[in-house]
Formats: sequence, C-alpha cells, structure tokens
Amino acid sequence: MKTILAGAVAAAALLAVAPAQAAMTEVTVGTEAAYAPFEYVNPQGEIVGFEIELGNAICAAAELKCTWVNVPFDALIAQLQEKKIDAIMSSMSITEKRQKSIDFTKKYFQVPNAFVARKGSTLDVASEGGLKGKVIGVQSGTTNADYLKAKYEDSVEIRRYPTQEEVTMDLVNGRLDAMVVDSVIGSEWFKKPEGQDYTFVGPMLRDPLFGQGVGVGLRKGDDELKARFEAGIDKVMAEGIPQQLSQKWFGVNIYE
Amino acid sequence: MEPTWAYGWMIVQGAGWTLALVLTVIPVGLLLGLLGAAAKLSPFAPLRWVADGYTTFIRGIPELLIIFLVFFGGSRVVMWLLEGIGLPDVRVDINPFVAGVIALGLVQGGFATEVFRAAIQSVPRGQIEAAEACGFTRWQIFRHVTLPQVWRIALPSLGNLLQILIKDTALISVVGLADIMRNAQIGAGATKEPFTFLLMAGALYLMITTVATTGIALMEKRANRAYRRA
Amino acid sequence: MRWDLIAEAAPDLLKGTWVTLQLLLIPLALATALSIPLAIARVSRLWWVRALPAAFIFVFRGTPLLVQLFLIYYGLGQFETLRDGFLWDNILRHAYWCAMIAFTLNNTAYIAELMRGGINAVPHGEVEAARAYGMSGLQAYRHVILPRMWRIILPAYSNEVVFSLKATSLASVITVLDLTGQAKVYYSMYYEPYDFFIAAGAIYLVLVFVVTRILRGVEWQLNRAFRPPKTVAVATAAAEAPGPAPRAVADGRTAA
Repeated sequence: MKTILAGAVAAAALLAVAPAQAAMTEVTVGTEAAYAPFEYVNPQGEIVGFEIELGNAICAAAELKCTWVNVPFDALIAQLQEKKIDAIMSSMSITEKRQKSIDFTKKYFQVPNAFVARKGSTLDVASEGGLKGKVIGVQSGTTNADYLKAKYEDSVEIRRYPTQEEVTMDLVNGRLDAMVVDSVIGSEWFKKPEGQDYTFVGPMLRDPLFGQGVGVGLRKGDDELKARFEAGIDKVMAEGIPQQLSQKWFGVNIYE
Repeated sequence: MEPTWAYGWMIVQGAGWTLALVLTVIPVGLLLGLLGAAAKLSPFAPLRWVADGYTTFIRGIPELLIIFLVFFGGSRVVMWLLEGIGLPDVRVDINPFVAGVIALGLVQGGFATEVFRAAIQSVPRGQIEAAEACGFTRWQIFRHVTLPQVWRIALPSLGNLLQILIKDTALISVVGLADIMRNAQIGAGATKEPFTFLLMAGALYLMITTVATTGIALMEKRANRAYRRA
Repeated sequence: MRWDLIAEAAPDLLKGTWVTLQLLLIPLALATALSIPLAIARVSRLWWVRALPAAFIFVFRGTPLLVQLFLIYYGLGQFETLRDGFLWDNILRHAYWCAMIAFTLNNTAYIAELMRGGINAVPHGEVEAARAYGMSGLQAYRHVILPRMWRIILPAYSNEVVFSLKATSLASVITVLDLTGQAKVYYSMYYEPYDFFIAAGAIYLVLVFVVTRILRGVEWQLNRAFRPPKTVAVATAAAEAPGPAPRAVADGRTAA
C-alpha cells in the first residue's frame, strides 16, 4: 500500500511540472454541489452558487480554464490524490488533518459554524453534558463531523449523512434534535418556508478543528498551480469581487 | 424556488445515464462470464482457482462495497499498474460512470460465469463426441454445437441477471452519477417533496424492468423455436 | 494495508457486524412468515384474491431496493400528518426501523414469488391424495403442500438469504451504522480507500460462508426421509455437484 501511495505522490509531482508551460492551463475543479447556496445543481442540471461564481472569478484572474465536476464530499480528497480532479473548491476548510493529505491555498472565505435546532428548543450547547443523549446530524467527512466526534462522541448520537440536504431534511422530519452546519447555510435556510421555525442555538463555535477558513485544495507539491491560484485570490480580493458576490447571494457581506 | 416539473424532467434525463450504464455493462458482463466459465472448465488448475476465487468474492461481497472499492480506490490501482509499465504521466479518469461499468461489470461477470458454466455442462457429451468424429476442430465445436445451445439454455438466467443489473444501477447514484436515482434525490432535496420524486423514480425503474422482461421473453420464444411442439 | 488503522476500527466493525446480522435475521423471519399467506393467495383461482399479492410482488421485485428504502425513510416525511403521529415517534423516526421495514417488504416479495413457484411444483397427485383422505384445503396446505414446498424451494431460499445479507449494506446510505456504514465512517476519517472496505468485505465473506453452511445443514436435515441409508458420502457429493449453482440468480434477486 505504501509503495502505491508513494508512487501516486511521485506521479503527482511529475504531472505538476508538465502543464506549467501552457498559458491557459486547464484545471478540473471538484465540488460537492449539494450545499446551497454555496454550490448546488439547478433544474437545468448546471452547477451554480456563490462559491462557483467566486471560483470562476479566481480562475479568470489566474488565467486558468476551470471546469467544474460534481463529486461526493468525502471522495474529494481521494479524487484529488488520484488526479481525477486538480483542485477542490467545495467549502472545504483548511485543517491540520487535511493538510497531512493535501495542500491548500490561502483562504478565500471563512464562516463560523454553529448548532441549529427548532425554535424554542431546550438544547443547552454551552454546558458540559447539556447535549447528553441527543441525536445530532452532520454531513460525513466535514469539519462539523470531526468536531462532534472529538467533543461529544461519548454523550451524543452522531448521525452522518452523505449530503447536507439530507441532514436538513431529517432535521425537519424530526429525526434529529439538532445539526451542526456552516452558519451561512443555516441563516440562508432560515429564510425559506421550511426553515423558518429553526434557529441557531448556543454561540458560534470556535475550535481549531474547524480550521482556518476555506481555501483551494491542491495536491501536495503542486506549487505552480498553488501560486497561480493565490495570485488569482489576491487579485479578486483587491477588486472587491468576493464582497459583491456575498451581497448578491447572501444579502450580507461575510467578509466583514 | 424552481418549479417541480423542471426537477421532474431531470429525472427523465437521468434515465439516459441509467440506460447507457445498462447497455455498456451488458457486453462487459457477458464477456467476463464467458471467460470465467472457460476458466472454470479449464483443465489447467490455476485458471480454475482464479475463477473460483472470483465467483466466491462476487457472491459474498455486497455490490455497494464493490462500488466503493472501485470508485474510491480504483484509479490508484490503475495508476500503479500504468507506472509499472512505464507510463506514469497518463491521466486515468475513473468517473462515476466508468466506476459503475467496472463494478457492475465485475458483478454481472461473476454471476454470468456460473450461468454459462452450468449451461455449457448441460450440453450432452455425446454431441461433442459426435462433432469430433465428424472432424470438427475445437473452435468449430464451440461455435456450431455448444454456443447455440448455451445461449438457449442460459437465456432465462441471463434475463434475471439483466433485472439485477437494471436495479443495481441505482447504487451508482451513491457515488454521484446523475442517473434516475441521483436526480430524484436532487429534486427531493430542492423541492422538499421526496415522496413525489422517489415515486417517479420508482415508476421509471418499473417501466424499464418491465420492458426488459418482455424483451427477454420474446428472445426466449425465438431461441426455443426449434423445440416447439407441433 | 495499514494494520494499525484496521485494529483501531475493529471494535466498531464488529459492532457493525452485529447490526448487519440483525438487519438480516429480523426482516427474514418476518418476511418468511408473511410470504406464506401471500403465496397461497397468489396461487388462488379467484382473480380478486390473486390480484393484490401479484401487484405487490411485481412492484417490489421490479424496483430497486434503494428506491424503496428512500421512499420509506425520506419519502414518508413529506406528509406532515404522519410526522406528528404515533407511528413516527416510535418507529419511522428511526433509520434502523425504516431499514427493517424496507427489507421486510422487499424480502417478502421475493420469498412469496419463490413459494408460488414451489407450491405450483408440488405434484398434483399428492394434493388429490390429501383431499381423498378427507383433508380440508387448510389441512392439505399444512400437512402436504407446504412441507413439500419447503423442500423444493430450499436451495433457492438459501440464495435468497445470501442476497438479503448483501442487501443489508444499503442501510448504511440512510445513516444506519451497519458493517458497511462503519467502514464508510472510517474511510471518511482517514481517506484510506482500501483498508476498511477490504476488512468489511472479508467479514461479509465469512458471514456468507457461515450462513450458506447452516442452510446446507438444514437442507440435509429436511431431505433425510429421502436419503437412502448409509450413503451419506454420495448424498453430499451430489450436493456439491454443479446443480444448485445457477439457481443463485434464478429468481432475479438484487441488492439494489
């Protein structure tokens, strides 16, 4: 197994050198399009959302030709290592754990995470043991899942779902007492009819497990591509594009 | 948000991927099945062991697990093999469709191996001896004596395999192929009407399996025409 | 293979194995019991008795199990009246019981179809003889037809059990932590695509082997009246012979 892995890394390194010469490098970007409004599939079957538009702006600024592909969240890192995709832009936070497997660019946005429950819920997030015996839903492979496992594994029942949509659906179905999500996912959902009875409980969560914001995930050693993406991020940040997109999609500026 | 019918239409479009997957896997499964049966009946023991191991695995391991193994781990194996033959730079793309063809092809091949083996063995030994006596080569015997009968005997079981295959394609949605099932889930998530969309998906699958059953029944009738009683 | 990771996962994989066994045995027992009246109704000469079981069998055999499972787990949540009811709070709320219901219904359709074939294959003369003895229809079923049917369908029934065992892995998709579910959780924690799936696969192989052995023992017991004395070796040799293999797929069973 180790030799295969070593081989994969070596191959990744070899491949990284080759495309550097081309002016308009083609990059396949993996995203999990079941995370509205960051990335989702519209009825025409197209992948759209805040992060998709921001990603396209970054790619344009970096003179990269980016194609988006829809990949299950917990398969993104494996697919990157296996060269099925070249980059990840899927609200994936930069964490120490992930950095053992892949590289990240600097962050291009960061939102805090929080518990969401029905209004009037007596859930006590702040106190030790206040969640004892509760059923908490979370998307598999996310920092939210890592956080729950690290902090609450012995006291709560953790339910892991393939997509965030299924977590939300089961919260409405009454199968979950709460879920842990990115706060923007929560606040956007509260605006919809089926989400209006729900609210954040407890404070916004601060923990190193949530990482240092969302960056572009890249193969280790893919430094050329990393440099170009970072230049692109700097450029769009300087032009204020992310802030405009945030206003457009969320009605608030998440960069403040 | 977006109207329900737009997502409904997506499910119908997803049927395109489902059918494409079915039609691509059929020849892969049949070929693997014939090779497997040949290996099982081979006088060369190691070939028989490989074939026995293959069918034991396919019979014992859940389809979903095989799909996970191929999808999450498949291209590492391919990449490693390519490097082994000195092609480290070739890009391998095991997207959900390719993963589906490989995983379901392996599953179908495993079952088809048993079907073909049993069918070949049911051809009376005397017919083969007769053909040998007439001076047929081994290939001629296979082509003109064994194969036409194998087809007729195996057809009902192959029809069942086709049913299994059609229903198994729904599993590929779990790794993200935009087939009937995946698109039904997208529609269910977006409109919060999961029952409506899953029912539509179920009805589409039922239509496909029913058409397939009818088609196989017609083929059986045709294959058996020489055996009809007057 | 990373044995340290497998060792870490082993207790959870075994826990998952226990859940898998429950998901096999409980629905199987229920389905077998339900199948008997259903199969008897299915072979009725009255079309209105026959129609409902025939439709049930047609629908549940003609659609993927995954669709059935999702319809019960997510689909029923669409109906708010159901969501506020007793049934929801005690049964449908739990993924575990939803899986049990889906597997029971699915198994029932396949086993009832098997039994229909088995009942039709009972030689007509035996039924006539039973009636000539003055047995009622019910008595004839109880003492002649059903025991004979069991011996006829048992090899195919064994295959049904194996297929059913493999199909339990689908429960993982609706958050049940069965053997496949546990393997998936560890995969999404470590991004090691082989170790956990291969370990789980090995456990499934062992389970299939054990289940097949047990059922073969039952088959041997049931056939004892038809075994000539002192020719045990011949009988088992016959059982090993190519006969039963093609029946593995004889009834179009599927995991999907």
